[in-house]
Amino acid sequence: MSGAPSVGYGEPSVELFAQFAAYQGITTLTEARLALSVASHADLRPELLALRAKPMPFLEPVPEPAQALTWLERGGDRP
Amino acid sequence: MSDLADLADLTATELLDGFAAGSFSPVDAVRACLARIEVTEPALNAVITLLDGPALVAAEQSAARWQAGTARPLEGIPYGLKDIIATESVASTGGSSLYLDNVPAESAVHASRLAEAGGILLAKLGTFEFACGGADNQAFGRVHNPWDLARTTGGSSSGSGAAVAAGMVPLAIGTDTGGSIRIPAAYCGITGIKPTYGRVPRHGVMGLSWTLDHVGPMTRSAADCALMLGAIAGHDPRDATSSCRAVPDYVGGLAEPVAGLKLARPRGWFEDCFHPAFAAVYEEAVGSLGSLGIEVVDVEVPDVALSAAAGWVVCYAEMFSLHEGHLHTIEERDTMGAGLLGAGPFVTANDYLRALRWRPAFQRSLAEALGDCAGFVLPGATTAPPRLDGMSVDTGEAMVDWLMVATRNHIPFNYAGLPGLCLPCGLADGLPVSLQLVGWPHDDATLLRIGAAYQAITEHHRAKPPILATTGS
Repeated sequence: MSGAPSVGYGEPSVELFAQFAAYQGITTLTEARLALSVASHADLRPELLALRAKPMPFLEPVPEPAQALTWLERGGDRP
Repeated sequence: MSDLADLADLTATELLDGFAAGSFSPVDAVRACLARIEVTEPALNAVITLLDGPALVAAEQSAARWQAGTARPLEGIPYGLKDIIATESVASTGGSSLYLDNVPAESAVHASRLAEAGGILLAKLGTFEFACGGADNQAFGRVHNPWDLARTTGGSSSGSGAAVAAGMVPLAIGTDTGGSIRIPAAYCGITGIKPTYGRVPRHGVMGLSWTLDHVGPMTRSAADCALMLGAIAGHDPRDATSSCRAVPDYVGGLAEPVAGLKLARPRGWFEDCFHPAFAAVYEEAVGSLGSLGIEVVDVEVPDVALSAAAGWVVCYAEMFSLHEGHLHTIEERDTMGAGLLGAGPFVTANDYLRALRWRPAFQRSLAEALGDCAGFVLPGATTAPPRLDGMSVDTGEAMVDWLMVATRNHIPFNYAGLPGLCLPCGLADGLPVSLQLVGWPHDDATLLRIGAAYQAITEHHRAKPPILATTGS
């Protein structure tokens, strides 16, 4: 199993967000928009870090998103 | 039943009964809806494109079919479409100034299927820009809630919620990526279902997040949801994610008994942020399920907060991909959508893929929590709809931004793909309260059956919003 380490993630700064955006061709974000983006990321961050810490199998095939879709098609393996 | 205003208040099921009995005709029904639109639209702003001329022509043809004995399942029923759904030769704007002149050459699968079933498209309806832009729409203005014009309908199916609640149309199509059918259904006191992922194909719909996007009915009764879902469900080869399972007889299934069913009540996350006045009405509604012979048992669902975060990660990433062509005008987009789009660059590939990889684990958690239950019961909304000025909700403890509160009971089921049905269950402070049923994949029929049984013993779905009194309707 692989799982993200529980420590070691730095807090992203507004400047880092601006660089991320520019790297992807977005140079028109206003300061207010950037601040909102950082805030929305900050709101999700505790759960995001918890998600990163969830163990994921390394030695098995990764069938996503097929596995989730076939589960739905099977009716959720209802007992 | 000759009063046109009365006809606008009937459900589609009741209209069909009246057509069959010869009490009135589809022409009467369309005229009634047009009259309702005329008096309520100035206050609500729910309609983007009114198709009165073609609708009246179609109504004449439907009337002839009823007389000839060749009526189809939705023959003569007026309906509306959220304006992110393509309609041949009719503008499909996405609620955006960017697509004001977008006139598709082909209709979305839902528009085609509803027309083939005899439905009459009466209006293209308001939407948050690209189903995410927020209540303040620069291109078309705000849609107002028929229960309180100072409040939002929620969204993003804003026009569909208002139009159905006000009697402009008995049926409308909405789309739902994080609650956009169920939130306006809850805020407007109507009945809406987000079907199982894949149950309704998405060909012809402007996408927001292909993992989370669903299309479904917004109506004034569970029976009408069943009627409409039966018309739009089923595989379409143009959407490879659409299910190949046979479409059940949803209307016929409504007659099956509900006594003996069990519903699982997950408290915690889903009943946090619950305004006390709304919680009290919800509590009474859950209690009344017992009179139907339905047992409600408490359950725990682990990691719901993670599922919501994972859903947002997926939404940000897929929205960013879909809207690549609009990124250079991001600051010209409506505020909420620009904010969501602005978060896109910061979702890493690894976070997006991790969110997708964790989805089966959350699905299994939901299945384990359900056990031998037919579904979950939870609030459709935990607060009143926010006022358009401010867009904050009152949880009883604080005023907070509406979006994360409104979506928290919905996006986990977009992420998992389970069906969710919102039903009105009373009023708090004069505003609708909603109960949500979430079911097993591809068991939408059981939700509709429970919903219809609940509406057979209650009158909440028949409550009229105040705007109908103030406009004399």
